Amino acid sequence: MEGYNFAYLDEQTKRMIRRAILKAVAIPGHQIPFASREMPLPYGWGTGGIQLTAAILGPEDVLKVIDQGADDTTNAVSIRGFFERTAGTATTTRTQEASIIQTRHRIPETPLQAGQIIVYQVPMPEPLYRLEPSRAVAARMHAIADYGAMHVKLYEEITRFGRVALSYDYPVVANERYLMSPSPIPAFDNPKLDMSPALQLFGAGREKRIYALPPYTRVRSLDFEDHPFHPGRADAVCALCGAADSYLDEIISDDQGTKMFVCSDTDYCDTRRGETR
Amino acid sequence: MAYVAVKGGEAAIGAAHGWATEQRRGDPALPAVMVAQIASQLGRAVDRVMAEGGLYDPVLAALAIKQAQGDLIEAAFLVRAYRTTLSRLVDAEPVDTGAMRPIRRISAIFKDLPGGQRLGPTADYTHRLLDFGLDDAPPPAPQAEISGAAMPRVTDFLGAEALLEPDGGEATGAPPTDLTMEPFDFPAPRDVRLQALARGDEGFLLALGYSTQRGYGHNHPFVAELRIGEVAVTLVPPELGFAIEIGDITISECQMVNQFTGSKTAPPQFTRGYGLCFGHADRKAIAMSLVDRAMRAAELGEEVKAPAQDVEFVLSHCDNIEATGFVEHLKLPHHVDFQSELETIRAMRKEAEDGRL
Amino acid sequence: MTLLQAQNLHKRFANLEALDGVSLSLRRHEILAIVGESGSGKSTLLNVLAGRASADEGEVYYDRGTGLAPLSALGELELRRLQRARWGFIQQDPRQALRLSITAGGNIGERLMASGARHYGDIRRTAAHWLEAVEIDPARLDDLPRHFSGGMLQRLQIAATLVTGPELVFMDEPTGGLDVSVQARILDLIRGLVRRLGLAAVLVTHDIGVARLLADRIVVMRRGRIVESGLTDQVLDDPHHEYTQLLVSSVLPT
Repeated sequence: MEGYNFAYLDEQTKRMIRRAILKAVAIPGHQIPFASREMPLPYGWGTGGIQLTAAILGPEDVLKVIDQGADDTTNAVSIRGFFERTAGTATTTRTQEASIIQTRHRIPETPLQAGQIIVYQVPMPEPLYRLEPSRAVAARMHAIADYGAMHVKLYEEITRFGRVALSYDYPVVANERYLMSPSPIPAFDNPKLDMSPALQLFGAGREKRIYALPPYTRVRSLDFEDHPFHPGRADAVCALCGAADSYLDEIISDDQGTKMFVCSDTDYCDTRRGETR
Repeated sequence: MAYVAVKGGEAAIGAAHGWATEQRRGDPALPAVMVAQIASQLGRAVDRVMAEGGLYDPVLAALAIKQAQGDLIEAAFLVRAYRTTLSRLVDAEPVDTGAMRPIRRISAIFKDLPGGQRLGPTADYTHRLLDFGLDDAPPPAPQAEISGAAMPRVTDFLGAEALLEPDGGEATGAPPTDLTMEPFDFPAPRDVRLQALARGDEGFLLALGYSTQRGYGHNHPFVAELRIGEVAVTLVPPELGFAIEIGDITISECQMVNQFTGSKTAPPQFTRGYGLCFGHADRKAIAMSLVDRAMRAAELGEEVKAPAQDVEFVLSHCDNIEATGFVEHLKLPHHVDFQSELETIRAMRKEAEDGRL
Repeated sequence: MTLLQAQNLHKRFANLEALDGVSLSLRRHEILAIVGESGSGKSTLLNVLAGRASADEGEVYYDRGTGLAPLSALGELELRRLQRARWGFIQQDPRQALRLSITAGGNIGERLMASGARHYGDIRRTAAHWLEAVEIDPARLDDLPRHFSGGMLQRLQIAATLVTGPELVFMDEPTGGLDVSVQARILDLIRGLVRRLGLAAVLVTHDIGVARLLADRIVVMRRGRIVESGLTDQVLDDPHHEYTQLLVSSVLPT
């Protein structure tokens, strides 16, 4: 692309972001403020993830971009197109072939390997925001590990509903210290965060925060001993590939409201069916 | 019929963009609007896009307005995205608004004053009657050229009697923070607050300013002076070591005089609110000065109760590029998270029913 | 054994000396009342002792089990841990201290959860037990305090504070906002709980009667200074300082 640096951002900005990443990796789960830049895609549509990817992307990388688990959803197409235009790096839909995976709201079903980096798009990096809208107050709560209010919220849900009703963006504790938002992934995906061999980076462009989980970090979903964390999924199998262990999208297939379930992770489903692209 | 997974997102996006482009061109029988026409004839829209885009370039702003089909927030976004790519060569010297030769300068606190009440080109006092013959109107008669003279600041008259708090009271000598280059934290100092307001959404600031007037953090405002005109931009290139002028920009500046404070030891003085933005923008400058003063409540020992006084609330929500991005992101697919909610609610309802049996 | 000690505390607000050279000490299991009229500095003193405000000069010492050590040497994290579990603070207005849209059980459980309690059933049982201890029907465990009376709210605050078994409790006019008839019962409750649990307490009140009922020792404050101190009954029955005499004589006989 004429007149633009590799992957759009200038080198100064990339350096600034990489410094923030290093700080984030040094303190798992702790939010690092950074001077987020305006990008050619709107805030709230993945600018944090895009800035992270742009800062770490090199000519030898292979990039996969997914949204809701699929490579073909509109925003994933748009972001992948952005990096094709501005970096010309190779892209793929195959999880196993990617060196960098940028994702919105899902973790791939195929287990990640050492050497891979997964970049999460995060709308609200502050796990306490619904309890405490002021970031200044929330920052103090993190500093002194004052997380009682979050446990009270879970207690109240069990009291009211008989179970914790949170089903996505389920709060976790990273490295036994920081309360963290895993981004709006379904609770089903939370266990994949724990002790992953991959480097996990989280970017919130509009809120101007980066945080990270270095490989093999302990990540624990909040729960009570007698009400343990329960990763939920639809009680069904994929209508296309028969998988009983993957997260499923519900499709309404006719006017009578007939339901069918299909793997949300399109690469996983295609691979199981022997269809590779 | 067997279900076939939906593909073709890429093709759909391409077709959508094509349609939008066609719609933007409008009726092909009509001449296309030119960027130069927008820059020349829709100046207030251009000024707003420059202010909220944070970049002074009327032609660029006009192009953005055309490309955005008149959506001014989308146009400001285009300008911001372009701004990100520009190299930062050197910081300009502070603009001297006192040296401005205003085309418009009014004061609400004195009936007459040195320099006079100069209305300038304004729609104030027009009767808001739609002019149906506007398209066919003959070219307007050229107005006599007024020689703009530099005018003393109204606030200096008050300041001479020590009736008004001095300007820049908390100045530390440190260079101002550039909020586009460094992350900021709360409490935010005044330079960061003013920068955020200068590029903040005019509608949001208007509403907040209005709310203070209606009692949500009322601070007894009077417009000491509103001045609009050109000022020179100077900078000191490192190679030269002395200041050079690189051009002029049009700005609007509002100095608000507000509720006085004092104590047993400090005699009462009026306090200030300040508004400054690109272009000819009465509304924005005045609203900005109201909100600036409201956000100084804590510093001035006033009770902080109203939304306009809550610095974190104002600064977190005044940027319409951030706001529209997040509000409109709700259009993006959220079916995975919604699926989790569906499963949870179904499970809870089933548990409740099993409990009832 | 001295549990808490203040040495020569000074604190200024603008032109006002809120604390002007205040020293005192508190032993384990002892209850100390700070009395004085409004503006005497008693609430400021309480907040400084409890680590909720800092003095301009002087020091507060606390014995965590290894001897008296200055509060200022603790990091903020350590101080918050102390305040969260081993100390308690009962405010005059329970609405400031409680979360009105959280159930009674959740309010009581919060300090437990903040200190690491992770068993829902146990938290619930403990909370129900404490509701009984403060004479609230345990069936109200899942009720929102929004609809509780003033007296019930204060009882709930007491339960939510004592649930972690603190050894030191600070109280700021604990019956201040309540009807006279309700006050007596709450005071009785506090007296019973404090004795049974062997708590040490620092209690601020403008009401001499409250001091006489609850406190072992008393200090009298006026304009930021302690003008008299000693055993409660001795000071109140035989006040030496003319200000104390004025305070005592202005109380209507019950």
